[in-house]
Amino acid sequence: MKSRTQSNLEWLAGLMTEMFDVKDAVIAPETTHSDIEQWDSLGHLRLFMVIEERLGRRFTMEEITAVRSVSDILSLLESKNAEET
Amino acid sequence: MKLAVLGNTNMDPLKSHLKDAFIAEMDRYVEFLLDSESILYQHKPDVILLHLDGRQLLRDHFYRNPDNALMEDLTARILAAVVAGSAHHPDAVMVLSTIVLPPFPFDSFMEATRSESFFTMEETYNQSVIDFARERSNVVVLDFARIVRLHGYQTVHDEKYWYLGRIRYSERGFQWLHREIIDLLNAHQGIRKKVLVLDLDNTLWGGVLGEEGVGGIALSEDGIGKVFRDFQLAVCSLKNLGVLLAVCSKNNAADVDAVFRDHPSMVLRKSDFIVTKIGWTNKPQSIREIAVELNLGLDSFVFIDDSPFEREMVRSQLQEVIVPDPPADPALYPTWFLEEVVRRYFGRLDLTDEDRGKTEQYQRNIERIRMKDTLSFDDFLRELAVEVILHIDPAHLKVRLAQLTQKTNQFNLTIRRYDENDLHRMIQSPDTAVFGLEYQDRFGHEGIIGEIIVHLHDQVGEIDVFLLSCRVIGRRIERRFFHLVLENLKERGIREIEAVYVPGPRNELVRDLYDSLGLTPRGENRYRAEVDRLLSRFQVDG
Repeated sequence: MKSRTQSNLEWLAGLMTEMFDVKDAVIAPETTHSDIEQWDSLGHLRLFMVIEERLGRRFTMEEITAVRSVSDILSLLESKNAEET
Repeated sequence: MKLAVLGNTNMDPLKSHLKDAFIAEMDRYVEFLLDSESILYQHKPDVILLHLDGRQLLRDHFYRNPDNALMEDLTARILAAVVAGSAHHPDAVMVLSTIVLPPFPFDSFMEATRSESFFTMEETYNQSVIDFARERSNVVVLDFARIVRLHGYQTVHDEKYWYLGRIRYSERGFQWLHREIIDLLNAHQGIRKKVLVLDLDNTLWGGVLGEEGVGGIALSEDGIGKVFRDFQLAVCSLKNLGVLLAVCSKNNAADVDAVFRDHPSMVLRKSDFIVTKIGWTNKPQSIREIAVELNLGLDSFVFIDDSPFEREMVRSQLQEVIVPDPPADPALYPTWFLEEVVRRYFGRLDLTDEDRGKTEQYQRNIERIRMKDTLSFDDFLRELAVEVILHIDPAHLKVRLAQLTQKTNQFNLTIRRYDENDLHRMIQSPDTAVFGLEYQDRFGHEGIIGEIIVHLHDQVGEIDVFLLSCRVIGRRIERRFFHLVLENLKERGIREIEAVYVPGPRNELVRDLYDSLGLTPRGENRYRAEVDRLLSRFQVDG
């Protein structure tokens, strides 16, 4: 069975590929804003609007602005998972 | 179609839905509208959406208990900018959104009694925009306030992204706005369906007629029966908008007739339906037959049926037919129909007189078809007693003439689509001749059913549009129409005609029209002929 982190990464990579129009392979936990041109400040907000909408979860302004990398998002997703289970 | 979006908040998220749209930087709408050199005009949009957020319009005043005088002033300034913008861009359609102010009044429980409430301010802006649009054919209103009423203020808006990036709406808010834009532009271009095909059991009434009998079906003034009665009321008003109704049901015809005749709660009468297919033929086949009888393409059809099996069968065999999925809970059925079917597929901005009498028109057509069976064609035409009137550059017909270019697919030589503004321009222009053909015969008045547009260069007339409504195809109207137009062109000093047939998905019918009218082929579906030669030929032919 896949770990939760692994399946979250796949889901997130798919979403980011779709939104930022980049190849799947580029998106890894260590991927940061500077690696993806479209992941600018506006792209970041768009990403979280869609994450929130699709997961039906809400994050705070601080949580959203603190994110620098894919792994930051993954830890956010997991903390939320942990809270809700 | 190129869309430009102007706003006073960050509308960039719309880009996910409208990839090719130009989304202007926020809050620069006034200068973009006023400055004819701005990037907006370089973009040459066909449609300019001005979508303003009510709260942002008031800025800090929102927190300072603003009054209606402020809103009146803001409204006047904005509409002045729109007027200037339209002048710079006469061909673009202006779409103005209605505004919403959040329901957080300062005088918390007095909102309803105060004249200077947010509600009054909203009305000031929205009513001005609606009045403004009503007077102008190139301005339409996108009723964003309706979306907010439908889904709720807090679902459509998102406070967090406002503070993070001046984005006012939630992801779903943008999705609903996007859908409204698409539906509105379709309605504006006259893209809509023409025929609603309805199943009967568990669609027009509850229960299965064949099992429960006329007295057993659910159709009444209370309980679940009222759902179906309300649905019928909604269908009935759709008919009054010019939509043709048809029935396609697996049932015994005599049982169905008894319901139409005897059931006290039936709203719809059998005569409301242009065609009924009641029997045991499979539904795709019946729908195909309806399309043939009405002489309409399957892409004009919407089919409503409660059975997933029937829906899937129609969907898989007739891909052009729209087959929406009704809600599982019948209580939602009437409002689902209004929101997801009527608005989406039959939405419209204006009604022409032709639309209002549509069912009667088609019924007369069916009588004509029956008459045709018993007579020779020449006798038929003679007995029809066709009368046509040529309208030359008729400014008052621009709505109908635009509609004809949008809707005519079969007898249409070039399939060029024009809107009301295009028609207005061509009618006014001395370099273009616009002709409309009005038709009546002993069965009734069909209104404007033909259109020819000719561009005039020196002594040459180049035919840009030549079309006839499918209602009158096969009555040799095209020859009379063409002849009348040639006579008028001759009076204008035109000596030669150039024409082209542009093949499209459904205009095979007119492939050889110009050959049969006597024009000389010049290759690649192009034709040329001298006006005098054509006119003398018509005299010989009669």
